[in-house]
Amino acid sequence: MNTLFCIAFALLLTVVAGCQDTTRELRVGSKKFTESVVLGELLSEVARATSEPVEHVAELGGTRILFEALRAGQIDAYVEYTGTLRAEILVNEDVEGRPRLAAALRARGVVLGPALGFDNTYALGMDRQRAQDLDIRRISDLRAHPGLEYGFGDEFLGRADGWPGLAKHYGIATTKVRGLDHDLAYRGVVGGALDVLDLYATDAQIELHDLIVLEDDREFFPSYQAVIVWRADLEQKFPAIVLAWRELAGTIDAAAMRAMNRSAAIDRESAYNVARRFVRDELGREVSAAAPTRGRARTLLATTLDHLALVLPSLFAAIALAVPLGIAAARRPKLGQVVLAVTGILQTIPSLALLVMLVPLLGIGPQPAIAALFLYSLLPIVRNTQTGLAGLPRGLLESADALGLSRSQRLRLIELPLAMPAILAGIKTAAVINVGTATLGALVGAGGYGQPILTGIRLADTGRILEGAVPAALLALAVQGAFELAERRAHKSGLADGW
Amino acid sequence: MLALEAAGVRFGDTWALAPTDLIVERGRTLALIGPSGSGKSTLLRLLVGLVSPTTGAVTFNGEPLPRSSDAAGRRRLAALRRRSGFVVQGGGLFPHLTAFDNAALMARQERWTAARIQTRINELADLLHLSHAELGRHPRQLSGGQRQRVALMRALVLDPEVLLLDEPLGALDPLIRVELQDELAALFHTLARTVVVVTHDLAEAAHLGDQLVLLANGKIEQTGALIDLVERPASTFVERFVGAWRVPSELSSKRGRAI
Repeated sequence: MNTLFCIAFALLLTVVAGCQDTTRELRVGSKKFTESVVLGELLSEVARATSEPVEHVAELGGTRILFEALRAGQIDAYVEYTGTLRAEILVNEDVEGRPRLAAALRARGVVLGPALGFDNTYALGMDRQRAQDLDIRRISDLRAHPGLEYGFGDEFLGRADGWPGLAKHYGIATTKVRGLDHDLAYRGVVGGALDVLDLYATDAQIELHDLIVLEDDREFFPSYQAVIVWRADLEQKFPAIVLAWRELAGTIDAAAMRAMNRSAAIDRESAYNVARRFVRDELGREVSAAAPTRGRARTLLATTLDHLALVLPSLFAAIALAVPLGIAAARRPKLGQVVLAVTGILQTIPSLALLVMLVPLLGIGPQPAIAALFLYSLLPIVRNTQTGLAGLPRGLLESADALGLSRSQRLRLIELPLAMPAILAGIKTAAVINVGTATLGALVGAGGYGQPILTGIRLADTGRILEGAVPAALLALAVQGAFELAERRAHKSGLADGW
Repeated sequence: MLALEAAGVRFGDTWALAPTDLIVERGRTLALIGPSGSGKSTLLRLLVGLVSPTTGAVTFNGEPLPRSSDAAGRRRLAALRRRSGFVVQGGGLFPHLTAFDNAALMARQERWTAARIQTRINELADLLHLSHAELGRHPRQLSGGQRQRVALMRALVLDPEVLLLDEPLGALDPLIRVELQDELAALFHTLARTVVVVTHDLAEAAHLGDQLVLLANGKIEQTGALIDLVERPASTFVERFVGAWRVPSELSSKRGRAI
């Protein structure tokens, strides 16, 4: 059984290794929200001006995934926020001030690059006209107007560094606070039902709705300065790029970032074009003539192939391991309990957490997604194989023994064919779940139907979301249908009943 | 050719079969009979190693049956089982295989040529009155009697030295049962093989076997021909068992075939 396990695992590694590309051009990463994507394009564009080929791995799943990918050398640089580094990466470390932050990152092989010039912290915003009428410019001015209506997002309302801390810090006493969805808060402020809302300092809607950001005059909100972070080894490998990035220090203020966010998020201009225009017009730099290496308009076919490239290898590897494991579990009930417990626990790991754990081992791209899907596919196949075999009538097995079939002949000729409907049903469950879960692969840069979904969510573009969601649902249905057809075939030939 | 030497089977605290001596002579037809739970099925399974004796030994042509606890033993046991045709209760046909494929299963494992298999199956189909069309069906498309015939074909395909049948007619309705009893008796006669057949029906046992072994509570009560059991019962149990069967004595003359 150990041998089988090793073979299946080796198979998986081979598949995974096959996906690994060996050419290492410079790679810039970005998170799955618009500002990060625009800044990723901007870093890429500036780097391209040094005539180095650059790939932008856009819309990755979150801070941990990006930072781990950076440390593992899967990406070389991205734009991070100082507050995020302190709160999510360097937790429980004393990293007050830039020198300490830089030292802590240096210890992890990461360079704290220049601050771009804006601070995307939490902020309070008001309608410009309303604020002017009341003569409010700073947060401390709010104390003079106890009658104001406040509307905050749930997160801001609950966090210690959100409203509770803020009210205490500034001594604002009001009961007119309600929690509501962020988009609704914007509409409330525009419509006059609300006066003050929480926002991020560079939200695109600030421009769109002509709001003002109140000055944090008593410095309550932690700093979320946008900084470039890159791998330490980049300084030797691409000194020209590092130099070009250093020159970006202080070139993007909050207003400039808001304008770019607005172009990308509200006006639906591509992040690539927004970043290019900024580099050309505002920075006065050359822009590359070459098209970016990652195509913008991915065809449905390409997305489908990407998606299948996640689903199929993971499913086949899972079958290769889970069926033998299920057989072992059926033969040895004690071992079976252990196997089912382990695969069951794997099933309970949230997919994002699993992806985060796999990124340091397998990098970003299809590999961690395939590995995660593989692990998720094990339980249904193992369990159905085990119950399918354990549920066979004893008389039939005795009959096989009495005829003089060896154990392996009995398994091959009698047990597996008879348990096949159950095993197929397990594989079907795994495959259908797999098709759906594979959309999360986009969080680690694996592509597939998840990519349009992520972009759609980022841009609040339902059409884009459906571009990924509808084919994913159709594929899941197709898989289900194909398996049911196969099962019916199996029934017809007398596999399923008759004893 | 088959023998139990003080062989007993214990499950937990109870003896399914108390240590027993029994010799099955070549060419004889032995009928194991007794109420349910008397140990007759256990005895039959002991003969092909489907259960291992807790004490004593089982021999096949003088050699002790290998144990199934190690791989080498299992291999030798499988080889021995191919020399004996065993039909489990209910036939034990594999539902995913056609009647033909069920019957041909072991011949294929022995790597017979297709032509040889076809010849052998035709031979057996004639012997057991099965048509070509019936052989193409799956077990669930066959009647109980047809299933039993296919099970017999499967057991006979490798021309075994001994035939072991566990309640071969158990699940059949009375008419077919009587018909098949005659057929089986004729078959045993034609084959002239060693046969051990388990049944709970004394009439059937008397009809099929030339030697009866009556078991109760895991022990052999008496061995002999029917007439010995009727006229010289070895215990009150034998007397009662035979007596119970003879209750409608005024009818027994009309059931002449039974005695």
